[in-house]
Amino acid sequence: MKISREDVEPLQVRLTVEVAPERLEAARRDVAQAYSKRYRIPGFRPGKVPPDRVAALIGEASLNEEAMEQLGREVLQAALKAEGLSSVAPVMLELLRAEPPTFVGTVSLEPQVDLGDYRALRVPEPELPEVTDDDVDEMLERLRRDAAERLPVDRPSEIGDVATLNVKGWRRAADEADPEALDLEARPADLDVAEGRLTLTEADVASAGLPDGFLDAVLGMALGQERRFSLPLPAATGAPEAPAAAMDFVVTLTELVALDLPALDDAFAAKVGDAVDLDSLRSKIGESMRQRRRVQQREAFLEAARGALESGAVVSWPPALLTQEIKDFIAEFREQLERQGIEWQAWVAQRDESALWSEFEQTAARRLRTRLVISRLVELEGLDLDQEALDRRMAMMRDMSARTPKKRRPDLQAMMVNTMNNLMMGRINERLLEIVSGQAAADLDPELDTATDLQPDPINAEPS
Amino acid sequence: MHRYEVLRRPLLSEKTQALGVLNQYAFEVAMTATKVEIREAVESIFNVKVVQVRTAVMPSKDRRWGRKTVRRSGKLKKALVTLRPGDSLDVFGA
Repeated sequence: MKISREDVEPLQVRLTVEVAPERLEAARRDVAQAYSKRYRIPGFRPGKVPPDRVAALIGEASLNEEAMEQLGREVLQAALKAEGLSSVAPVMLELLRAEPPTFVGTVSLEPQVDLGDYRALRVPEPELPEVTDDDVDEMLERLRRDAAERLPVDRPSEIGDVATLNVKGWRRAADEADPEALDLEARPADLDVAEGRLTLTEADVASAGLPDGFLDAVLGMALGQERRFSLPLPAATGAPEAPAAAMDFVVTLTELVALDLPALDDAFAAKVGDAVDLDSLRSKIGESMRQRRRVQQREAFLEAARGALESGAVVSWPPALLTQEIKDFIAEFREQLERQGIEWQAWVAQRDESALWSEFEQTAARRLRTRLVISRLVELEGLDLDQEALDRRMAMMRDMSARTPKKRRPDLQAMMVNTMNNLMMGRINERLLEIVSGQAAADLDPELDTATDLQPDPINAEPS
Repeated sequence: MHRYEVLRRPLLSEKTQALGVLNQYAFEVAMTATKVEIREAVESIFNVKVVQVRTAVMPSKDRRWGRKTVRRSGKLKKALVTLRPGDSLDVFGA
């Protein structure tokens, strides 16, 4: 067997392997023998059909093709072993020449990740936004609105009412004519909401993504009334090549409901928050908001830390690895769509195919990069799964599963994989935050470790 | 009888395959075919020289279905043809 190798960028090796013709003959015999064992051929005991008879039955070409495939697999294993290589992606072996049999294949080498001096990374911890009395009041107000009695009214709309509106909106560039001169209905609307329910408060109008001034424009409307108005849009709205300056609205009020807000007292506290009095409801809300903000702050901190780690890393991978990642990503995305009842083919047909694939490729590349960086961090830091924590959680799950009816029992294997992933991710995040906040510097920095070792032990030092 | 009516099909089995080393080949032949007709048919169709022809009539095989006896296969005549050394028949995949 003659092997020649050629390095191909990035991180690939092209192997050309020439084998002796006798090996092809041997592979042909093996394949024929396998057929002879697998299929019943009249006149012959299984495994006793001569290769030429098998070739006559299944066709010389297909027997040769299978023999080549088998030989290719054998040759690939032998060549990888001889060259001391291992491929991170399946190697596609092709027949270069039939005489003598010569195969060529591209081996994808391990991706390379250099995290640089990641231990010196420092990321400032985002500030934890304080929960003020105003925040608690706003939440209480929202709870009151949710608990309010809804009474249909026939009067002009007021602040705090819940209005059902038909809203149509058309974006207009700065140089376009006055809306009065335009036939709006002749054009497709950029915003078209039928029977949309909106609470008439500044906060709700803003959270619905409507521009400033919308609330004032719809106040005082009577049932069934239609209003036409234009509102300026923020500078960055619309496509960059044709920014929209304003939006022309046609709004009809179809239903109006007034909210009869409950009194803010101890009875309300007991009803909505299971609290003994209003003060304890306030402190409960405050605590829950603080908790949520702590989680959000940690998420933001983690994201910044991951961003810093990734931006300082130099990562390269063979193309086959990205191809595999794209396939995995598409398969996951497709499954997600199908779970929502959206058919994949129809979804793809509505989009620009080349733009879609390039988007998939970019996302897959980002995912691959993150995965490789994290794996390298795990490797360098020697992070392991906390086996005790896993055992504890699995014992809890087994216990829960045993108490669940058989038909509804969860898949413990899948749950274990999920738990392992969560635990490992928790360990990685914890370590990453320690690194970027400088808390782990002492036990991570080998130089500091050595320096500490050299210090005389103040307790056991011999008296000078 | 036309020579293509004499030879029905080659008999391919483990046993006839083994006869290949003796340069012998087996055929199913017409029940009325004579050894001379078989020799002439093989020689003219495959362009080989036949040294010897031996024939045998294989009895039909019956099978019992309860009280009934059912014929599973009809009787056939087979011919074992020995060729001159150096000649061979491709049809047997040898």
